[in-house]
Amino acid sequence: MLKVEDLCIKIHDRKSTETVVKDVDLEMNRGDILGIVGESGSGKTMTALAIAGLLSRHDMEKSGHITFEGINLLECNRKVLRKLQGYEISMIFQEPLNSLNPIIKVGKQVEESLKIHTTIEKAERKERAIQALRDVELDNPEAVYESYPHELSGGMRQRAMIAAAMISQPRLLIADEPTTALDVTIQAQIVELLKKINKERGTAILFISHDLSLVNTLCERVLVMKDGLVVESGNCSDIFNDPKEEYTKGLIAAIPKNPFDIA
Amino acid sequence: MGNVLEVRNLTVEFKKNKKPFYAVNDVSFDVKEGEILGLAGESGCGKSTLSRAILGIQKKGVTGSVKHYYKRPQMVFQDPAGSLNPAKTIEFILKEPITVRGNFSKEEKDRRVREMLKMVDLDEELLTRYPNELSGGQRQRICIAASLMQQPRFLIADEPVSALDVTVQSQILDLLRRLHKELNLSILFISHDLRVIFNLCDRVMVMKSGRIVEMGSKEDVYFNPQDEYTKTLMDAARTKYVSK
Amino acid sequence: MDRTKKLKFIIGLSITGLIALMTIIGIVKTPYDPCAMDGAAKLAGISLKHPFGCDQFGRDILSRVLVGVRETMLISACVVFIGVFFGTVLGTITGYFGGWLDEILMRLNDAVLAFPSVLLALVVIGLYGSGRYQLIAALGIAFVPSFARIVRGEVLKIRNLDYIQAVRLYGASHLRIIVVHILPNLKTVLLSSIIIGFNNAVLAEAGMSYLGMGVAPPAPSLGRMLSEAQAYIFSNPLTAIFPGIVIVIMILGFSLLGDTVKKN
Repeated sequence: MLKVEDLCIKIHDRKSTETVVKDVDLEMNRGDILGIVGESGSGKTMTALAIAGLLSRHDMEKSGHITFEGINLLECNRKVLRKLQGYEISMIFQEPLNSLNPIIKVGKQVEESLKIHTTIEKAERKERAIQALRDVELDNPEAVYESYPHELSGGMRQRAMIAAAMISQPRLLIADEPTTALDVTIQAQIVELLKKINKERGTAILFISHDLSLVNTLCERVLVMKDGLVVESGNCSDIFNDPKEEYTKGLIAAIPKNPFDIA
Repeated sequence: MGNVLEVRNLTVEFKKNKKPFYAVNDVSFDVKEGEILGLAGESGCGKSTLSRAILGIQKKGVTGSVKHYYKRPQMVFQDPAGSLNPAKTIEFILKEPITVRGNFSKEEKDRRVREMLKMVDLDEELLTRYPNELSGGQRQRICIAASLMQQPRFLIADEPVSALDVTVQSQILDLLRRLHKELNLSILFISHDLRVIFNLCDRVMVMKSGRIVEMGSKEDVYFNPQDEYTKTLMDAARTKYVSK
Repeated sequence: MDRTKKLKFIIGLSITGLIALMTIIGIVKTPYDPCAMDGAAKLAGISLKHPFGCDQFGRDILSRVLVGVRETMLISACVVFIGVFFGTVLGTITGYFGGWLDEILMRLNDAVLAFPSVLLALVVIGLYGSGRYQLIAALGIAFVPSFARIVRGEVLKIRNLDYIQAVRLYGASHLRIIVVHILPNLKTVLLSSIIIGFNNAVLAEAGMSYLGMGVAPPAPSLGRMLSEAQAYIFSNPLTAIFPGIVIVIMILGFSLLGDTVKKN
């Protein structure tokens, strides 16, 4: 379904050119959950943004291929890309407070993608939005529909974001550190929700995180990135139990020991 | 073993829409000499307000008693970018604590700063740099070094590793552990990461909505929690951390 | 984007340099005595002897403009200095200590701010007569509140940062925290507001002397040259054009410079 080959992203800054993503290859089939792990500055977010088609700044140069359902996202024209964006490919971000518009009701933002991409009537859109909010296990979805982002807690906002991303039944959901800003109890719930969505609807999830243990609970396969390069990739449990690269070993060793594994 | 800190019935009250709101609610505990006491809790539970009230940075609405057995307790903050003055060199920042307190000659100050840099594993060439020229890990080392310049016996570390990458996190935690041993430093370690607390601390407190809901040895709190909230917290941690 | 900014900076800097040069010439030596009247050269046009022409009394306009620029620059500099100095002191104290002192001083500040600066200047001049020093005092007072407000906001932000808390825990005195740790961090904010303030001061000075409340005649000033030239604007526009252009260029130079400093 999604194939990324030799993806390179260069940022031109006045004099110097910095390559933030170097020769990244990845492949995802329907229903896959792929994790990308790396520390800050490893290029994991850049890769995700490129796949979502959100990198089109002038001072940036992209090369390689990103093929989604047979369409090359880097070369197709804007119209085709717009059709995919937010409809076939959705994205959720780290900080749900910044990714929701503070002056628009949550419900309106949830149904936004239907408004842009379909001709569904207003009443039905609302119904679908409330259903989507119910699907992400929000209590009292009608009330959430009518509220503004600041009236919701962090966990509720992230659920609403997921509802907005999932309302168009996308084939690919890109989640960029979706739980980093949340508390542990909420984190666990969001991870469970993502698992459920993947299982019930078959949505492929590209999960980006710096938290290896989290990736390990959610993903089947994982890419480890460092300085824009994929240093190791493969089955999650293989990499966890038997890392080949020094960098991956260091990363795994750095995870604080889990009290519950000892027990 | 004596105590370095005794907190009794500490309450911090804020006015929120004219209704009283207790950020810290009737909290009592001791920090024993030479121990690392962990304080776990989710965002907004009052951890940071508690630490500020203990150090006297927060004064408004504070009632109850805080007794320090040693002078000048220090604090290490979460965001190493915000806890260093961007307009000063590292040398100035490290000297500031002993410029403000104590009568040291220039040579003595130089010597102490160099010693401290060695203690936190940093190179002397950093002295002439400015905070924005350092990496996050280096900055946090500088923060720790600065907080130790006055040779405190008690240190509050408020989420000192939360803003750092995992590999850097583990280095900073190792450093804290080593300093704790070498200097017989007592630490109140605040974090939302239950693994970090388990690995570093001797005793643990769990805080929720301004109250300490559970306190005890880490084994008891983690594996035999009594309080409902602690139970949900530990369950969540279990789902999150344990591999499939 | 970067290029336009650079261009703005270069143009702004060269204009400001030119103004500075004019100020220095104005201080050192002008081609003619700016007040010397030459009956034969009344309303003379552009010539080698008088490159900017002469006014209705036969005074050399170039010399008068140079001295006028000097006056404007010196007055503006004093006004901005008063504004920045008292504004910083006031803003730092209120921002740092807060409480009732902040409440009182900031209300007072608002009151002055709400008062049109021209009106304030009129009051001062009405009480103490017109002249250079009265003008400096009047405009200086009018400039304090805006600087105080900017500084106060910045200090409020900085004093809650962790590094100030850390220094407080070392046991540093308030004075040391303010002078050593807070003030150096106001540099960038102050620099851009000083340039903008200078701009406003130039305009205000020109406006006040246009209304006849600046330096006493016959000493030249750009504003009064404009107002005197009003009568001859159609018969002899040179008398108005040169002082006018100089005012515009001054403002332009400072604005361009202020623009580039602000964003950084």
